[in-house]
Amino acid sequence: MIFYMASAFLIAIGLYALMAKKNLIKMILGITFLDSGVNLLLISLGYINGGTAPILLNGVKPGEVVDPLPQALVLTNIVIGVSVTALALSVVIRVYKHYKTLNSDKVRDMKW
Amino acid sequence: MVDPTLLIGIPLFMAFLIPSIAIGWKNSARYLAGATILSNLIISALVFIEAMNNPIVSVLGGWQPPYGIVFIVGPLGSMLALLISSISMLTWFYLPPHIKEGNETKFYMLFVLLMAGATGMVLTGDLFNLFVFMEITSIASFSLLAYSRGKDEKEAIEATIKYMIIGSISSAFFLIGIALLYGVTGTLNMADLAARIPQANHNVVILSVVMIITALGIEAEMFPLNGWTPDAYTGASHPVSVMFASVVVKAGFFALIRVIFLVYSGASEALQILLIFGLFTLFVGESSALRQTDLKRMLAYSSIGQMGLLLVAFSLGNQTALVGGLYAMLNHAIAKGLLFMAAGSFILAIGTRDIRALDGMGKRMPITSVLFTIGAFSIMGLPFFGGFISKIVIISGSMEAGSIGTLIAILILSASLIELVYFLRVVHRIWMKEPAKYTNLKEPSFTVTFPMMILGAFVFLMGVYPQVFFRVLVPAAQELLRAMGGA
Repeated sequence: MIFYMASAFLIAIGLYALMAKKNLIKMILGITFLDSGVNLLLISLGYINGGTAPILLNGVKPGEVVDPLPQALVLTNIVIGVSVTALALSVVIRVYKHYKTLNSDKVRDMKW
Repeated sequence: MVDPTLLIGIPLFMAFLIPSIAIGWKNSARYLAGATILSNLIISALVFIEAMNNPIVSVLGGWQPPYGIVFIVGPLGSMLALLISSISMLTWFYLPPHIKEGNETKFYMLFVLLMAGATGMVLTGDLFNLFVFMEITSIASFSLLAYSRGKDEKEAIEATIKYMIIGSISSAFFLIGIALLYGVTGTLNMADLAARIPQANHNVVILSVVMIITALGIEAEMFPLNGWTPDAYTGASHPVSVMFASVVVKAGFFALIRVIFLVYSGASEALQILLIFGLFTLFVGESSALRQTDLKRMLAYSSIGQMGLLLVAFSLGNQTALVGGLYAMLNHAIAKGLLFMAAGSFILAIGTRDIRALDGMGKRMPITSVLFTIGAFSIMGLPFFGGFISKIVIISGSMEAGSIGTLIAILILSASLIELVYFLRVVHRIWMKEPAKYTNLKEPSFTVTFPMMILGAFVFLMGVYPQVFFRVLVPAAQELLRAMGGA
């Protein structure tokens, strides 16, 4: 249960940072928080208290192991998250080059 | 038997290979990318012919479904894969004048990657795999969007940062939705999921559907999640706008529809939500397009409006409306691609995106102008063009939906009227006004006009011989309806 609450908390922090912060770097930090929250949610879906690794040897029964699938998903998502963050930071560098600011309110030439 | 996995494998491998080969052999990127896209075109055509008879099931890595990842390629998926590779091929022909500056190699690598990701999105039969392909598509499209050089660069960067932040939120929400669905059903395989949804906890399913609608609504330009769209279309270089309108958004929309239909037996409210948002998207898009003076921005808002029409058609949920929706999807991918290509040629020639600068272009660049007009007529829904058939079928589908259907039909028709006004305004300027200045304009080279001619021919064919397309689209719509029944 505590894992679910922690993941909800992390997701909330991420959304708060995205909505309330003006600094683009802080918004990207918010995205990484969001990602970690989702990863924790996925991991805790497959978690069993006291479960072992999903290797069915030495009399380990299927009910006693943690679900391996969410772990594979999280591994994939971590890689995706890293690449998106790297790409986003490199775009921020170019934003700074053109606008000389990181304030998201000032990066607004295009309107409706 | 052709393995549909090749449609993903070859482009992914080539996207890795293109920059490596380009180190030793300059200028090879264009030809390698062209060969990759051509091979995809051929394979997807073969897969399409085979999948029309019976669906191809391709198991990846030897893990049997529902545990492993599986590609289930029916008429619908293979048709969209063929559409994606054909549009990519035509865009490849159209590219050269638009990417003179900058690093060509990276552009072609990302272009191939974009095609691979979008193809994966329409073919996969696994929910998490769908997420991975969506991320591949997004990362490629963020980078392609930032590619513009010269005086458009500032706008492109602004659009990129907006799209990137909203796209990351979209992917996080999509993953939350997937996690919740996995939590209540214990499977990620789409066919298996549809069978287990009726027994699942209704509240959790609704929550995950809301998450997924939010996430994929961003990709499918659904109002009010489409703030990135006009900026992205305006800032992107012209071939990239074509790929966005015809490939990326279509793949995102298709993913949305597929997931919604999958969980339909557990959350039938989802279609009503989509219907309401679709009507909003239709009207906001069309009426925003009405007041634009920027050609590409107008096309972007028109694209939003058309996506609204598609949402309405699909959320009606009967077979006629689905066939009409698929027809509109095909028509929009082809005609809007054509419009963006023609607009790109205009803008490259006159150096501004202002609609008022298009006066008398019909006399200066007749071929491009005729093709632009064909695309515009098709989006408007004039007879003898694809848009007409799609709108008629959607409206007769909505009439089947009872008294609310009549209201929807009226709304669709009035939105078409707005569409007619703003497109005719542009077409009028092109043909009726006296040419203002720009005396030394000439037509772009044949490699640029040739892909537009093919698209124009298809738009025309769709309006004159709809039976040919119905033979593909009716089984495709039935495939979607079977998924809805929880088969």
